[in-house]
Amino acid sequence: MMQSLKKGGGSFRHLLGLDGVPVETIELILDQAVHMKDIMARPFKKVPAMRGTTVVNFFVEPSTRTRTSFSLAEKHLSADTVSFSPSTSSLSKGETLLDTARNLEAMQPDILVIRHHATGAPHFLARALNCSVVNAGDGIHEHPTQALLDLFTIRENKGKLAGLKVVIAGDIAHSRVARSGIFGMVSCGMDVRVAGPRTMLPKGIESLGVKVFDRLEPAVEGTDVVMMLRIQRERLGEALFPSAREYFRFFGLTPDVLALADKDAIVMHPGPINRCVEIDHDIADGPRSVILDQVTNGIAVRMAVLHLVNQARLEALGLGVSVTAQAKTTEEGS
Amino acid sequence: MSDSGLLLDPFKGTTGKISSGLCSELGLDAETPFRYVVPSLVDLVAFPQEPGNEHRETLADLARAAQLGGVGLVGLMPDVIPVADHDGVIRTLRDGAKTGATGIEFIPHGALSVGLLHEDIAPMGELKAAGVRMVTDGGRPIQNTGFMRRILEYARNFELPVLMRPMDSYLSAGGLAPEGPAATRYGLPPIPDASERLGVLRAGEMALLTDADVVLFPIVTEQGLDALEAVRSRGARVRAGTALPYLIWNVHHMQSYDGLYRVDPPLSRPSDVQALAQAVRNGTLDFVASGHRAVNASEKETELPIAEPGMASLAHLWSLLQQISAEQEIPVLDLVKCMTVGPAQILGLDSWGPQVGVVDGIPPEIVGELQGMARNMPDFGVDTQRLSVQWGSSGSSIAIMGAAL
Repeated sequence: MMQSLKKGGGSFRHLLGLDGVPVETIELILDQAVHMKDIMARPFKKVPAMRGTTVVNFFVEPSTRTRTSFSLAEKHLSADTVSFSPSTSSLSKGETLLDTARNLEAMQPDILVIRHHATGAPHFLARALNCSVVNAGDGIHEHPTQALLDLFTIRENKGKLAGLKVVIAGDIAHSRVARSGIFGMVSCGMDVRVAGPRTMLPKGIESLGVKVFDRLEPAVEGTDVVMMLRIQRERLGEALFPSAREYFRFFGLTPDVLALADKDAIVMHPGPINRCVEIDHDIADGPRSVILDQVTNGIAVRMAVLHLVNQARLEALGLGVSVTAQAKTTEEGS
Repeated sequence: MSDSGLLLDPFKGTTGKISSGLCSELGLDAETPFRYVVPSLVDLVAFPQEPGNEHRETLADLARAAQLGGVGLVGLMPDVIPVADHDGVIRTLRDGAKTGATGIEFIPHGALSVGLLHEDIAPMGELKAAGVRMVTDGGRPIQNTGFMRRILEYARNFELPVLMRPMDSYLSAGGLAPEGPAATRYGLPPIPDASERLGVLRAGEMALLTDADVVLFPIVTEQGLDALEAVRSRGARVRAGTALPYLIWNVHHMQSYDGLYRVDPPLSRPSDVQALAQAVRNGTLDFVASGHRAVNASEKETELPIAEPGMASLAHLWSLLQQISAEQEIPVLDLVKCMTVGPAQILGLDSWGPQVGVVDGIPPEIVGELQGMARNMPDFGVDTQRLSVQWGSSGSSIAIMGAAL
């Protein structure tokens, strides 16, 4: 969300989405993530940057990699963390989201990382609570840290972002990864294409600055990055596509389709992957796949986001230091 | 006495100056700088919460809200618990007005099907005998066109207008925004315009088939208006209206993900708001209703998709009308016509006005407190002066003052 970030600056209290976030802010996060990745490469990957900071991971929707990634990022930065899920919280006893969140806040956390199945839930909590809120995925809306780690991975592999051609293929309509990816990529000057069966292409998507294709082959042609989205098998009952077999035949990424992309094109996927539904075995495990790099980079990017959010919090308390100085401290702290 | 005060007569379609003599005749304070003097309004569609959900709003509070809003007659939708499909509930609803305010009249609309389940026809003859002037689906659209036909035929028997919601339930399922760029950007499940359009066209065809008196509510899209004109051009007897929120807010307010903006159907695009305003100006829409629906704060302060839809607009009605008039450039007289002449004709109260409806003896000053009343309303028009209502003691005229609440 635009209001969640200060345009052109490095200070932000919440990260709710990438819609309206300028390229300068995205670059600041990605640059910070480079430092964080260095830290991760050290034998003792822990710095005191967030010592004394309490982070609550509030995952109302199931998650494995995002929750683990946030959790590791917090530990690397020495934050104190607590994790909640519906089955271990009072949500399962009928407590409302607001009441649960207020009770959590009464325990005085500094940052709340939330994943929720309802679009706008992080925005709602950011309004209602005093602590900082980081969106770890809300409904079909946004998943900003996934988009940032995708951008980081692309930049790491290609050395730049502006001018690159990328195709995002799959269920665009129901994908928060696609939305945040589009916002971030367009902001960074990338040439973005989306592709999928028409049942999975939302009306008006071209207004976000992308080219729309209802076949995969022409969309992949000449691209530098091919990003496949997970097909949610639970959507089989929603008449979006007839079968996994037909989907793979017409919209799956096979070697023949990938051959249409640039010879140096990389293949991405936010995971978890459905082999031989949206992506072929050989491609998922092949030399052009950066899927596992995305997972590693996710920790670095989330470290950067948490660090910057925390810094904005400290600045608001009159305890802040500049981003550059803080980054330096982070390095020295190791 | 304010020189700028206007006497609005929607029945004659005239605007005049407020004179001291008129104030005296109506029992109004001649020294108060009234902005308008108008007949009390008719709100064709409000959603009562009693019986069944009194914790949201009682009928007494609803009557008080109507008084604050300058509404003399309130049409009540039947989806209470139990559903208003028999004369006992109709009586409860009708008599509820007396518990809250003197001079406010409730006209309950009967359910068109038993339990609003759209399986069995409600006893429309008995409902009419109990005072019902219209039957309705209560906002739950009939999807079985064969059943809709029978409903319209049977209602025609008793000369009851049938108010229906124009919507295809399958296309609208789960939707929170009109399909298009805004819904896609904000990640809100979309509703295609075709849903309302199909609803209007289907009801229009059924009106032609049955010669029934069909009333459609709410129309919220430009496509719905277009379909309305199409069915009318074929000779269908179809009247239609919209609700106040759709003339003020639009889909971009949903960007805040604030449950206060959750209404059903969802807020439309800015272009739809403009088309609706034009339809009020040119008379395409016959009426504007509050669509008042009180819900608790806790039902709004939650995730957007599960926030209870509705706005408690009745008490703020004149402030909202003022804002709509200013922002959409609709003459106040046109809005007043849509909240007097239009709905009165639908209910068969053609001569609604000072001589009909509201009785004498209304307390001269009812500028009440909002304390304890439903507050599920977003902020509106912070620059707009809140208007309060002073009732005259003669007939159903009310005076609208420019004083702040």
